[in-house]
Amino acid sequence: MAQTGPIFRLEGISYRYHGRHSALDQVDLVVEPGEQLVILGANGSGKSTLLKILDGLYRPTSGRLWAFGEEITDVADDPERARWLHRRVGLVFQDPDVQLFSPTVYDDVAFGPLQLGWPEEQVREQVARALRAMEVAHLADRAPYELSGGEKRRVAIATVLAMDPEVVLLDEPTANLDPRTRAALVHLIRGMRDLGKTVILTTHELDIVPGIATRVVVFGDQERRPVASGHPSEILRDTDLLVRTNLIHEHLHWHGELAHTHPHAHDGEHLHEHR
Amino acid sequence: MTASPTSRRRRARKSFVERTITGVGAAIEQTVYAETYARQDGFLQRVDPRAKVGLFALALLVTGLVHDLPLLAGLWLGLLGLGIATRLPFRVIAVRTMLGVPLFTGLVALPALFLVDGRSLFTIGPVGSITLTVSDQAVLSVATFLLRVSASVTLAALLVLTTRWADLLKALRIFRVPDVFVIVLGMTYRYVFLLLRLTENLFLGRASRTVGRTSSGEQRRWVGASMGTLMSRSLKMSNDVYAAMVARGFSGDVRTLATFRMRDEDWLFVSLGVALLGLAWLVDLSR
Repeated sequence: MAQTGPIFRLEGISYRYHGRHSALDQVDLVVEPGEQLVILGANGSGKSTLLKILDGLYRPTSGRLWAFGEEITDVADDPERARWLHRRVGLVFQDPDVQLFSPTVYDDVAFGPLQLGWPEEQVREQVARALRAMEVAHLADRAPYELSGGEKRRVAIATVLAMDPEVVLLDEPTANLDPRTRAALVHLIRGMRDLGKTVILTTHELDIVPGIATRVVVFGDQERRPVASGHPSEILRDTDLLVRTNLIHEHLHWHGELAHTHPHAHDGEHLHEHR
Repeated sequence: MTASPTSRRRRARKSFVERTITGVGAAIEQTVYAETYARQDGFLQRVDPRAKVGLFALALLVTGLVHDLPLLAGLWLGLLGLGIATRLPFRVIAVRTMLGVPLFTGLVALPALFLVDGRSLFTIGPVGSITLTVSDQAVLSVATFLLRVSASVTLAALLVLTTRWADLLKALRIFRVPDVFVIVLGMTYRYVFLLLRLTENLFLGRASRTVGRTSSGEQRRWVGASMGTLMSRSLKMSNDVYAAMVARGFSGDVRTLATFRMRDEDWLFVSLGVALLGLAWLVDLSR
């Protein structure tokens, strides 16, 4: 049955590590079915913590949270309901080495479907489909330590796709990748739209946003909550917002006798004209 | 060009940090190379890992039971031939089976050479008041022991070199090893690499910032600190890995996929192997 209401609804969600260090503060957010939501935020703005809360791995310190119309605020303490949530929501961790814990790629991709108790034939079909979707079928027999950074990321996504979740959460999937590998990965993530997945992706790399997002939410690194939400082109044009949230910075440099400042993305290219 | 005092010292004796980096790098390289042999298209590589593990376990048992010297020698030479037939370079088998065995097993067996009674072959001494006599029975016992160990080590080397570690672990299930044990072993193997890389980087980072000599006390303090760093990183990683498992539906009950299928060739391999081993045992009993 197609999801009619929001996929996620968060009201006043806060999270403190060890009860002290604030990672999220009073987050309100609604995610609709079929959205390709990019959460933009500088390091330490709470993006990864938010994804772990959405996947039911962390219990929020305060606030309330709903997924698929059911309240899941305490789901981290309830293994049965957590399994129900993990069947519908897949999380790709920031560090692929954390996600790839089996001796071979095939075993890793099969791990999730097997834990869901699917019949063997269905597991094999899903594994083959996920490997094909991420274009890593040729790596099935390899050990994770034999893979390049880009291959690891693609296999990590395949481990989640094999479970056929309705929602895919991706934690900085393009971090530390070379430009070509990053472009290929963006293309694959964009393809999840055709598979009917709702995607929530965190990043601080502005150049991948237009290729993926249907909506962008910006997290403030001081506020640790959303400070803006809108269409990608609208957000990316708002230079003041991007400077304020530490996604670009005022860059001072010299051209002979001429010194000037201009906004400069962390990971984007440093190209501009002088007249 | 004149070498600097530091480089002269380094040539003379590698520092503890350099030795560790070299050791860690070699360990990773050796394991990766071992897997390349297992991926080659050879006779033993094609055999179902369960068939191989089962038959090799039986072969180990027979090797331990057989006493006949020519039979043991034939078994060992046969295994060496099998290694070559399955496209393993002789040098690789030789290094793994012939270098260590005479050294360590020889040392263990050496006293027996002078302690077992029998027809005297020759004597050494007297050295002071001691005369050492070597008997024919002693030579036979030591030779049997050396051949038995050589054949066993060759069996183990052939199994490890022609089977990928992941398949070897899965094949342990034929001995009713619990799934959870197999999975934990697999994960250990997986993360040992990661921690080895981390260790290598820690030591490389240290080496790149070290100029001149450091005292042994300083080195000990640094090793202690590195062990702490490694410990805390592996703890964090184990928490993250557990979260990644839970996120994919893990709830404590391990479920695995049976990925092997016994083919006719595998059954033929097992049948022939069992027949040959049985024959060897019968021949030994009859002598």
